[in-house]
Amino acid sequence: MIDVIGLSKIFNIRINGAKVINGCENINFSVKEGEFLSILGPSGIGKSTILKCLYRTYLPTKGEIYYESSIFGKVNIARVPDRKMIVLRNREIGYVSQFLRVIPRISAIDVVLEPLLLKNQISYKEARKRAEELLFQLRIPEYLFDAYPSTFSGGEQQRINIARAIIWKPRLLLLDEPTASLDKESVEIVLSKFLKLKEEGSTLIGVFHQEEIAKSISDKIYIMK
Amino acid sequence: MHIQPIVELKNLTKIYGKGCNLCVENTGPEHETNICVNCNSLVACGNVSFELYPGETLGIVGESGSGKSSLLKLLNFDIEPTLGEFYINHEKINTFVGNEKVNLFNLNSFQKRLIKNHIIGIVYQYPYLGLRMKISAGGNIAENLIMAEWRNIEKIRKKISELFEKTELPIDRMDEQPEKFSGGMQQRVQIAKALSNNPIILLLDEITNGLDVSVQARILDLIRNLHWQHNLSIIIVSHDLSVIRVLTQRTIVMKYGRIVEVGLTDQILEDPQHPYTQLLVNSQL
Ligand SMILES: Nc1ncnc2c1ncn2[C@@H]1O[C@H](COP(=O)(O)OP(=O)(O)OP(=O)(O)O)[C@@H](O)[C@H]1O
Ligand SMILES: Nc1ncnc2c1ncn2[C@@H]1O[C@H](COP(=O)(O)OP(=O)(O)OP(=O)(O)O)[C@@H](O)[C@H]1O
Ligand SMILES: [Mg+2]
Ligand SMILES: [Mg+2]
Ligand SMILES: [Zn+2]
Repeated sequence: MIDVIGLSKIFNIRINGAKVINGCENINFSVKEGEFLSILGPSGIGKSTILKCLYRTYLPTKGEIYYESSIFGKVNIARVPDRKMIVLRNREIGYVSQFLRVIPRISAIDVVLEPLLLKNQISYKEARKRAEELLFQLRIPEYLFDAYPSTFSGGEQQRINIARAIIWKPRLLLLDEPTASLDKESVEIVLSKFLKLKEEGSTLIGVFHQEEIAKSISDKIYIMK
Repeated sequence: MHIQPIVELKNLTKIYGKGCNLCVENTGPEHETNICVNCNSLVACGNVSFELYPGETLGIVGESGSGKSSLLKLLNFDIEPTLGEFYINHEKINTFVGNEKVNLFNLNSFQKRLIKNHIIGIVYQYPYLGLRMKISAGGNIAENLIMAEWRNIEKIRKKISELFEKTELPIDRMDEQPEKFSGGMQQRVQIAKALSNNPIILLLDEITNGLDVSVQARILDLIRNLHWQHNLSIIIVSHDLSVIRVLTQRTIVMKYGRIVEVGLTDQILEDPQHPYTQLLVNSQL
């Protein structure tokens, strides 16, 4: 379903003099539909950069990212027009970022249910019910549902971000260190959620810090050096 | 799956002053000015082209004086362009201008008024531009409804109450003048007014400017809800990048009347390409 061919990202910073930073270089891998691929490697090697190129938060400098979309057929994410990428993000591709960037000034429950409203024609009420269920399962205390996540603990914020990413069962899910700030019990709940998505047919690509987690959960591992 | 844009804007140019045929050439980011050296006219927008897609929220950012408000005013026919083409693709427009695709800038003033009254809603950067401060808040909204041929007083009052409710304004203050309202309330009256004729395109200029954070949050909530419930297509100008991040999917960056960069909002914020965008993003981190 995904073919990454010769992907490189170079950042050209042109303020206070020119600076060139290497994000990732000549990346090649493939993922089949329904597979779980993990990416491992030392800090700063470019793992997050790869995921961000796949989500098109970063514009790839070189290479192709072929993705077999169910709406558009085969597309090259490296070069797909912005409006198509928006449709892919709303209907097919989900993403959990490494650094918890909670959406400011929006309540936790709305953060979680928004993708449902963007994807399906369901009512706010119905979406809210499903978001509440999921937050219960992820053991977020009920009094936090209508509070702003910017005041939450790291682990709570991370579970909000994960809930937002999985609630609509994306066809492809990109996970950047999704378990980094979770306690052991939460890690298990979250991993079981990822596996359930996979059983239901989703494809997942995850960056993990702990090798044991990567090994326990994935079909394939891509190691960067 | 083909997605047709709801708005197409081509080579929009707005020159304040007498203008000459070198104005556009002489201005823009490479010249670091919007004033033409030859004739001293000011190019507020030069060759601005973009598309807006149905249900999309498009952000516009850029330094003070880069032409953002001028752009919105041009789209609302408040000011006349020097040059340019403007198309709206929507069935509602055909009843006013016929089935042929026409450059809306060339319509007569009656047709432009119909489009303003039935298709576009605008919230201005300053409430005094969008509201008449001496007539009641309800009366400000009623003006819009009457322009769109609402005649029945009972129905008008009911509609105003609904709009007050939707924008979280106290219904019992409908008959007060907006000059007695707080800044946040004035913005809400503007939003209620903009929504009164069920527009399909909403133009929002710095709607959270100068409001305290909790009021800002409620206004942002309101805009998000409108987006969800009515599937409006929205253009939002803001100098606050966190507002842009929360509300928009795509963003346009302007400088000296030109578009210097367009992209997915997170790409603009995290992987800006143009040096000016890099500076803008960096200075707000
Ligand atoms: N937006 C950016 N602008 C400039 N440089 C960047 C940007 N994003 C990443 N980089 C650089 O690209 C390189 C790879 O970073 P990346 O975040 O992909 O590493 P990583 O493998 O995810 O590391 P970690 O395990 O610490 O998260 C680093 O040198 C980083 O500084
Ligand atoms: N009626 C006018 N006559 C002459 N010049 C004008 C007029 N209106 C605006 N301008 C100029 O056009 C340029 C663009 O103004 P505009 O209001 O569109 O900027 P803006 O991007 O909205 O700025 P801000 O962020 O400060 O609101 C400015 O240099 C302004 O001084
Ligand atoms: Mg990383
Ligand atoms: Mg302005
Ligand atoms: Zn000139």
